[in-house]
Amino acid sequence: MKLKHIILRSVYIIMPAAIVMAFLWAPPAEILGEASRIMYFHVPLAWVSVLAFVVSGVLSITHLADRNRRFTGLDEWAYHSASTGMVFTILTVITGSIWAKISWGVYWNWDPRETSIVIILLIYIAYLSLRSALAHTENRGRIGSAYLILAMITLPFFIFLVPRIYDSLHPDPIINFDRTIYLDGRMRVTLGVAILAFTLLYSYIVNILNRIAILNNTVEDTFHEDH
Amino acid sequence: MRIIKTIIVAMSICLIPMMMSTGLHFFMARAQTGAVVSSGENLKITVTPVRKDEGAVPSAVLYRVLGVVLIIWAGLAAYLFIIDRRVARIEKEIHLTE
Amino acid sequence: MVSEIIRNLAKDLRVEFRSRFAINISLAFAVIATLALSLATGGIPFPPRVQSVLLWLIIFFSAMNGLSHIFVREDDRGTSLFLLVSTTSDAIYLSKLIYNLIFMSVLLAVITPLFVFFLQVNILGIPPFIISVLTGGLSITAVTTILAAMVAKSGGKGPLFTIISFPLLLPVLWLSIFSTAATLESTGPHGYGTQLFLLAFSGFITALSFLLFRFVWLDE
Repeated sequence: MKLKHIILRSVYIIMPAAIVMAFLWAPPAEILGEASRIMYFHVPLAWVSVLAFVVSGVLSITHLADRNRRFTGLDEWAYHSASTGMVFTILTVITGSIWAKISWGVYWNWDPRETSIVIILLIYIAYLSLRSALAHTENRGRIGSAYLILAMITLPFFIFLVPRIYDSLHPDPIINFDRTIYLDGRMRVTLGVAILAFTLLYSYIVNILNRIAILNNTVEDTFHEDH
Repeated sequence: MRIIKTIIVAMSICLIPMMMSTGLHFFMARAQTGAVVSSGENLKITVTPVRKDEGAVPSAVLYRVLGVVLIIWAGLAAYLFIIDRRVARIEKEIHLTE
Repeated sequence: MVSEIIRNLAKDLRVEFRSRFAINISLAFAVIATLALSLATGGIPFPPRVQSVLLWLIIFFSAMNGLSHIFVREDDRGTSLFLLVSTTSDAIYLSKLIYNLIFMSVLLAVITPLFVFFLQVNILGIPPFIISVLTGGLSITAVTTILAAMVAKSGGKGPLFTIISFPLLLPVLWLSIFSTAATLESTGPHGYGTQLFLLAFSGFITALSFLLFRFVWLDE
């Protein structure tokens, strides 16, 4: 319990370190120059938005599979993960379109990666509006979980389909001349630290939301016991 | 009932590779004939390798951007820290009363 | 199980045929949209790709108007509890799915000829066109039936159905638009890869929904 909190709170140190490293320590890329530094924010944000999606899907499956109610609050946990993930997804889209504007000259052109992140965003929006529409139903957690599972199962089809319909400009290419992702040692370390920092930030926020939800539930329970 | 379910699950598991293979086949064929529109065609890479020469100039801008990002992070960190402390306090209170 | 499904289906058909509310709304939407498009263009035919996009948009939105009604009605009239007492949740899902399939085929049987007639669609490959419309409709029904149950549980809020269906239906609409446009454009030999993919997709989604339905429909 103690160790978990120490790890989560280390985000206060690792995140500024990652920011300073991204701007001052990592060398600029060959073509994109200084603008390539947006990579150290865009890639971790995209990673976290997919991670949050997978985490909420797995939590939903566990919530439905767990018939004896061994774990409580898994559906709320999935909800917090999804709502945090949605903020990260929006930030990914914003940083991504800035990068696109710098390197391709347009903000948006339905590139496969852009398409799949928009689909994730649509699923988040649909899930959150379903949750809010079910506000006063007992079945809220289970219906939300069922929807998230359906959405998560459909997503691989997209990842499979989309790149075959549209050609890709964006994935890894144009950081360097030879269109392959080539990062030297310092860039790679910086990217790793940034990914770690953003993952910690996500876990920390979800952790706080979970603790607030637990507090809410206990307060409500004691209130109902008193009256 | 159980049996029907298992059959359905087994069937769906069999369906996945079939789908994958048909989809793959279809889109491979499509990619070769080029029948499907590709938006990438009219948007060739427009990278301008101007930046390479200006190695020294952008450092002022760089520091400014770094400052802005750090300020944003400081605000977020302060907000999270305050909430974390408040939650911890309430947790302790509830724990004491129980 | 089979007798339960048939009983439930017969009841649903009878009740819906008496009121004809959902099917009337859906068909009216389709007719109005098609006529408005035809009127606005003044008889000039669109390029095939645009025609295919418009056809699927009309099918999508008329389906969204009607497909959720079968579950929403049970909740509206407070009959969902009695349904639960007399029938197992699996039988409920299957009978509603079959009803929705019938509903969808009626819808397609009206929308498609109307669209072809009013927008001067020139179909070069007729059998592939019919097959791609049918498989697209099948997939839309397979995906949305369980979502309709979710919407009914949330109190039958209309726009919510469209919002939660859209992300899951995107691959279906996308593929259907491409394959329909291909049948409108070329006379050449048509592969049935897309249609097979859609069939497999709807089978997969149906199996998954069948397993998940009890969690949606039964209260804890």
